[in-house]
Amino acid sequence: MLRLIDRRNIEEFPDLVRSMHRDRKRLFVDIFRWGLSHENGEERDAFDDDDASYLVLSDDTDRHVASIRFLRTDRPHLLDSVFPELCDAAIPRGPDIREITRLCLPLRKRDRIAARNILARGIIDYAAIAGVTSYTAVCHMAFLSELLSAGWRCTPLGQPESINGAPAGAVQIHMDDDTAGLLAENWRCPKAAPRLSNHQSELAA
Amino acid sequence: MTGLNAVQAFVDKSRTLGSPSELRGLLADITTEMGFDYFALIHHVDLSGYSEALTHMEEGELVALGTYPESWIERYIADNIVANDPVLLASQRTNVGFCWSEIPTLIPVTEAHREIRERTVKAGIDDGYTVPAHVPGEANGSCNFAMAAGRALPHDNLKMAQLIGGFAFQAARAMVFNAFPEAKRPIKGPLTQRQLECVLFAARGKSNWEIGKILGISEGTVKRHIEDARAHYEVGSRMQVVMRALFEGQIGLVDALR
Repeated sequence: MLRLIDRRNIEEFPDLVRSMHRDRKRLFVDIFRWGLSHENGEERDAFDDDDASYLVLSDDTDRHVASIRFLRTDRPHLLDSVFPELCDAAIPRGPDIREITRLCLPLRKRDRIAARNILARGIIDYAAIAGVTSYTAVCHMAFLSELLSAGWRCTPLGQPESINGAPAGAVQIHMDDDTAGLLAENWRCPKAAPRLSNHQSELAA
Repeated sequence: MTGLNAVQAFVDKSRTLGSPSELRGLLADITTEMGFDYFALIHHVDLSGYSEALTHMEEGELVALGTYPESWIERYIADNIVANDPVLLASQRTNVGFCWSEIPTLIPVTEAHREIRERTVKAGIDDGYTVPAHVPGEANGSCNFAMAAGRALPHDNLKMAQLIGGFAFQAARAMVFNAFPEAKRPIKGPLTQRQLECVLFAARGKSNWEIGKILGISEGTVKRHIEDARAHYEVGSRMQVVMRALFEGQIGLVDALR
């Protein structure tokens, strides 16, 4: 199932949210070796607050499979607070711009692509529902080709810089009227794949 | 113009191009602007389909365009250097841009690699910077920026080259796939380990009997694995199975040719 979780419903899913933080710790700390703070096997930071929202894909037992975190850009977020050097011009901000952070995907290649595609559709659906016109993100250069291969319109916000020894750059992903149609074939999901439900849409709006 | 403005202008224009030759022109301009002498944007596959008129891109076959000296491109293709080019092999070992001087830290450099390097230099291409472009489920690719003999890399612009390389490859890729929608072959997913082993030895020209001996299984079992792989990819011949496995990045050209 794909859900939008934010301050209005986060209390309803304590186990799911905990399993998300555990998977984040496993992926970002144990495997990617990012220097992030964690506690009791859960990774969370100062931005996991009341204003964060999450797009969370869960399995049949309602355990976390994949997720991303949306941060408002009219409040402190990663690009303006942690990596301002990645933007050569003004940092894009506003009520219609969200920052995507903490993309957490399964490790197995087949599961990873399927989950990636479900989240991509969720990102586009959420934009339409919540009136988001673009997303900003810090993208490792290693992932740039894959991100661009989706076909959506991306623009760079600055020159890549080394972060923890790996080059990363800020990008803006634009949500245009034709974005869903631009999406490359191998980024699309099967019809039956989980999608943000109507109930969720009302929540987001 | 600042580096970022130039990159953004390139990105915007790259989405509106009509033909591969326009992309070649746009990329040639920014290559020069960054201080490089040549570029080559390629899929790491058999390049024998390449034509100077870039019809291979219009027909949705593969990404291959650049400004390397034409005589070198001809030799490069005729001698199938793509299969053992140390630059491309190194780019399969990393996801981020690297200077060619770093190649020995990425792959073991063999005598054959040194020979290719000498021939490259003789052809007038000296140093370079390569941006790998790996898209899951597709053949590896890269955007290579190179210097004429005796000219130093523009070190201040390597970050910019990293971005340009990534966006340029996507522009070329989109052009190839859009030109010929059938080229958007759906990912069939991985073969089983045993199927993969059989296909790998088939790629090296081994018969079913030989593969059976190598893997310690019967000839009939090998035949069944390859038959299953053929069915998995929905293709007709043993050669097409090998090509699909290469195309999907299941086996590398290096594996196939070793």
